[in-house]
Amino acid sequence: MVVNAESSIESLTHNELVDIFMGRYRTFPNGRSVTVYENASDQQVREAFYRSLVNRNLAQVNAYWARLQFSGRVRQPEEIRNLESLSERIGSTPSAISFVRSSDVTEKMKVVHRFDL
Amino acid sequence: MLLCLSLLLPWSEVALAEPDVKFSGFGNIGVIHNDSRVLGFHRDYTMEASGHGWSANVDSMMGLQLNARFNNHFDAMVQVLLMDRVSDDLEDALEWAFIRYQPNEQWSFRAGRLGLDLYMLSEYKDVSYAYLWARPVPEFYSVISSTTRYNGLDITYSRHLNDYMFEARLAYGNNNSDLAGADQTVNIELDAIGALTLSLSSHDWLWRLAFARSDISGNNPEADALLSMIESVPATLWPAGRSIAADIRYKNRISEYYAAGARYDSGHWLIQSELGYTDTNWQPLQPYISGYISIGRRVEDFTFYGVYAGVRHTENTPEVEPPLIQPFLPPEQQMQLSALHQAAEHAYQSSRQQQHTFSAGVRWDFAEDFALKLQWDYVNIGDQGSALWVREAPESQDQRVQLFSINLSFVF
Repeated sequence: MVVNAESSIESLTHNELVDIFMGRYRTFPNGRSVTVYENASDQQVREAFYRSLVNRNLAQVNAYWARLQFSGRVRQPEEIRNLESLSERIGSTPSAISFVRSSDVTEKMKVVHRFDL
Repeated sequence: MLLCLSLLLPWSEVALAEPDVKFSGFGNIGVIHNDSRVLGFHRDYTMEASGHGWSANVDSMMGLQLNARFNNHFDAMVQVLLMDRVSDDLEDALEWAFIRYQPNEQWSFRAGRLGLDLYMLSEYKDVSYAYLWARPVPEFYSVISSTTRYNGLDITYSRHLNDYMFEARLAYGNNNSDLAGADQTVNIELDAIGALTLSLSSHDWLWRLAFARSDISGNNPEADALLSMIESVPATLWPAGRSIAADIRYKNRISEYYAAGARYDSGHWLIQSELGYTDTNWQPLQPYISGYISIGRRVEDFTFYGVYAGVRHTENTPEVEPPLIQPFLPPEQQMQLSALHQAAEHAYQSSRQQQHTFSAGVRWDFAEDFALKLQWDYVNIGDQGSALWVREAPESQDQRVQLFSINLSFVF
C-alpha cells in the first residue's frame, strides 16, 4: 500500500484500509482527504489485493461498487491502467493512495502497509 | 428543480473549483417467459406488464449517470433510467438528481430527486449487476418500490461503532406516479412523506430497520365514475351506499410502512432476508405483510441461489353491505343496483395480494463488469390475490404461474 512520498501518513491498519478502499471513508484517519487510485495495470495484483483486503474476488468487489456508485453514495476510484502514470499521479497528488507490487514501488511513493500475497 | 435548490445553497463555495465530472452507466438486457394467459407480469407498478409468451420489456433497461464534484464538500448527481414505464412523461425517466453537502465524515445533506431508503435494494433496485437475482423479489418490492422515488431532502448521520458502521437517515418529501394497477391505471400522490432508516453494517453483516408514513391520494377516472354512481343511489335503496363510497374514495389517506432486513455475505455464502408491514386507512388496501429469504452459494464465478417469498393480507376483506331488495323497482334498475354492488365489492378486493413464490437461479460473472443470470420462478396465487399482476379482466385468475428469465447485466 503506497501513498504520496510527502504524505504525513506513516502507516495504516488493515481496517483503516478497508474503510478507505471500500468507499466508507473519504479521509485518512487524521482527517485529511484521500484520493484512491485503482491500480488497473495488473489484474493479478488487483485480484490478490482485494482477496487479502476483504476476501472477495473482483466480480464481487465490482458488484459492491455498482451498489455504491449508482446510488450516488460514493464515486468509484479512478482506474489507472499504466504503472508509469500511476506513479506520476501518486507523485503529483498529495492525498493519493494506491496499491502496487513491492517491486513496483518508486521514489514518489511511501509504503504504509504491506500484504503478503 | 435543481435551479431552485441551488439558490438555497451557498453557491459561491460551490463555484470555487472547476467541477470534476464523471460519466457512467449500467444496463440490463433481459427476456422473460410468462406462461399465464390472463395475468401480465411487471417488476413494479410503474412499468407496463407483459402477458403470455416471451417479452424483452420487463427487465431490459439502461441507466446513464453524471457525477460532478465541485469541491470536498459539495457534489451532485443526475441519473436517467430508461425502461418501459407506464408514464410517457420525460421527467419520470429522471431517477436521481440531487445536490449533496457533506461538511464532514459524519453528516450528509441531500436535496432534489431522491429514493426513499426503505429496503435493502432501495438505492440500486434497477442496477441488475449490483445484485444476485433477475429482479427485486416482487412480493416484497413491487408495491413499495413503485412509490419510493421522491422530491425532497434527506439527512444522513454515520459513525463507527466498534467494528460496525452505524447510519441513520431522515427523509422528507413528496411524489407523484402513474401506476399500472391490477385492473386500471392510477395516479398516486404521496404528500408529507417522512421516513427514518437505521442501519448497522460490518464486513459481513448488514442490519436495517425502516419506518415511513405518508399522506396518500389516488386519482383514477373509473373509480371516480363508480363513486358518483354509488353516491347517486338514494339512501332508501342502499342505506350503506354513502359510507361505502366514503371508504373507497382514495383521498387524503394515511399509509404507514415498517421494514426490517438482514444480510450476511461471507464471500461464499450470501443470505438475505427482509420483512415488511404496510398499514393504511384506505379500506380497499387492507394491511399486509410481505417477506422473503434468499440463500446463495458462490462457487468461483458462479453463484447459485434459491428464494422463497410471500405476501398476504393480515385481515379479511370487509363485507360490502348490499342494496335493499325492492320488489317494486323495475328489473332493469334492480340489475343496475346489483352491478354497482358487485363493482363496489370488486373495489374492495382489487388490491388484494396473496401469493408465494419459489425461485431458483444462477448468476455467472463471466467477464469483468458483465454478469449473466438465469432464473425460474414458480408462483402460487391465492383466491382474489393477484394484485401484483395486471389482469386481463377483473375476474382473471390463475393459481400457478411460471416465469423463466435470462438477463445480461452490465456496468460501464
